[in-house]
Amino acid sequence: MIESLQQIGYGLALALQPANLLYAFVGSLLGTLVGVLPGLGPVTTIAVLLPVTYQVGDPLGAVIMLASIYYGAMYGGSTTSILLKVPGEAASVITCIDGYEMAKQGRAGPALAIAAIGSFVAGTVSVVALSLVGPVFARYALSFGPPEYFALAVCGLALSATLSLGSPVRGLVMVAAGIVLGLIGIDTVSGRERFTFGILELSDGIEMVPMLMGLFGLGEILVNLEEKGAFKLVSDRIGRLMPSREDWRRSAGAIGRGSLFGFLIGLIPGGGAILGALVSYTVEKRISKHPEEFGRGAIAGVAGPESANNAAASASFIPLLTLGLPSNAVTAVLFAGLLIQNVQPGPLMMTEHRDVFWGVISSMYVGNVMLLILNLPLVGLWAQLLRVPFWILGPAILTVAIFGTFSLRNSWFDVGVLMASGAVGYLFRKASLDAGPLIMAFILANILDTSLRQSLLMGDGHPAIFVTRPICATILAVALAVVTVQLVAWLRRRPGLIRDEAT
Amino acid sequence: MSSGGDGRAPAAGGAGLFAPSRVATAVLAVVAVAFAVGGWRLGFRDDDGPGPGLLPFAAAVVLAVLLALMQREPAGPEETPFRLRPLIGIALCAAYAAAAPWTGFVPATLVLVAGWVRIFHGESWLRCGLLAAALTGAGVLLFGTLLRVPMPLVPGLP
Repeated sequence: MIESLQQIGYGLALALQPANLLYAFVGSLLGTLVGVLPGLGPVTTIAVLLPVTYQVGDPLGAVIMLASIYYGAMYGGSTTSILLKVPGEAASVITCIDGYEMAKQGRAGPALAIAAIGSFVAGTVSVVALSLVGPVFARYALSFGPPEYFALAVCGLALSATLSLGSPVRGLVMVAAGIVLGLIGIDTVSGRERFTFGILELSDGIEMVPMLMGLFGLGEILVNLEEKGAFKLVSDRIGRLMPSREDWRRSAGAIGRGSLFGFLIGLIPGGGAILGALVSYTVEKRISKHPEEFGRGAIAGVAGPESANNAAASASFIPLLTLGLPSNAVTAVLFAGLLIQNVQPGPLMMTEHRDVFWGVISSMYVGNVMLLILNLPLVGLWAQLLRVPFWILGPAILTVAIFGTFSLRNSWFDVGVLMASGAVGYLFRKASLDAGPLIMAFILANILDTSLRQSLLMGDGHPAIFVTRPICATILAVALAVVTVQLVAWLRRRPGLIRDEAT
Repeated sequence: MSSGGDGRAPAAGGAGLFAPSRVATAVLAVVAVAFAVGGWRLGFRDDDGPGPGLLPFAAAVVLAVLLALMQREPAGPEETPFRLRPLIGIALCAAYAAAAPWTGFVPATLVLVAGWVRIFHGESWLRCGLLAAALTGAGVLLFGTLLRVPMPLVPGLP
């Protein structure tokens, strides 16, 4: 405990350096600026802004900026959910329900304020928990061998594919596709080329950033081309910002409970944030003295899910920073950002990149405060940004994506990857295929491959090694149980769906 | 995304040959076959243990099985047929990726942005030109000048 406090102090000293404060400020500002634009969620925002952080020479500064962009984008997403009913990500869907209703009743100000304050409280609570739990996880993870890493990667992918909203089969399809695409390039074990088709640029595999920007950024623009004037701003007049005493009374418990549920559920790979928000909303509605108000502008319906959403977002940093395993699409993009800075997330990060590890955690405290100071007074300005017409917005994102992609390694091939990924992103969106699990699998493919082969070598080629090691066997059993339960539920649902379709 | 009386075609429901799910399945099936064959050729065993083809082959086979399962699933409620405008957008992006290495950033981006705004948003040529110039200029300024990325702006210039 005392050691953790010392490390937090060390991290705070780093995060409060003027240059790092500036990166946090710029990141929060840019993240909010882009995240508040209609239809752009945290994944798209981070993916589009990733090349900007690449240009920051110092790894710590770049990672602080990245984390601040994430927080900013999360906050920006709440604004669009409340004022436009356009969730930037799945987890914000719940905020739309009562937040938009409050905005329609002229109470956008309290809704936005309680979302910001709830996010701040939940973010702070979960970052404190992260500071205490993270080192324990990392120390424990040091004892893991290749079989355990293989099991963790399989478990993470299985949970993310089956626990997110939608069909588990479609999620698993995306995981399998992500694995095969992630194996393109030179095999690190044998040194042989795999599926490069003689293309030099593919020797290191498909470049991750153009793929991310294409799937999420360009794909989003193409989807939005289908709808003309799809976004309807309720009002750019925010009105009185601060919640009333009654609002506070109804929100305080919801924020506390949301923070707790969000943190605990956020540790689960895959559906953490959305599950956290859903659980929070359900609990608040069930224990409320006025359940009939939910869906009609109940402030607890905004406070709880927004807090849970943010707590889960911070909790998802634990598997990323301590195990090196991204647990959702956002942390997968952050994983890419860390790799660009030559920082390998995982149990050794605490010792090999102590400054980055503790600097990032501490910058989350700073980022939370900065966002609160920055966003509450500027909420009117952010609301005005929602008026940016799509004929400016779409081409602007497209241009940033093109220039940003080229800037990574001065490669026209990468620009081609961006465009192709955009087309694929559009196709996936149309086919109700979530690109999140694909990205996670793409990033984890090499870890899976290497750990599988190392494990089999350790076991003299026999797969029994995966069931004879207790931790590995337990993790694989959990993965198998979740996939089985989800697939059985899917099979039971299917006949009904087909009948519904026929009628 | 609703369908119906706004002039759009009805939801695909998995019936049409070019329904998004079918096209996605076809694309992913090609990927599965290519990686299964490639994985097989790379080999499942090396001299000193498991070979480089083991996981690609296994993942490709699993992908193929899952795609077959997916065919038994009805289309999602939000699944609607492809629309022309995004397809034109994809064609513009492909043309940009093909032309930009020869023309450099400035001409290609100017044409892309101006064409994009004109085709999809019906803005006047003046607005199209102004936005194209502003965005291209901002891109060059941010990445080329401030971040010092060496960019081929026009043919003949580094």
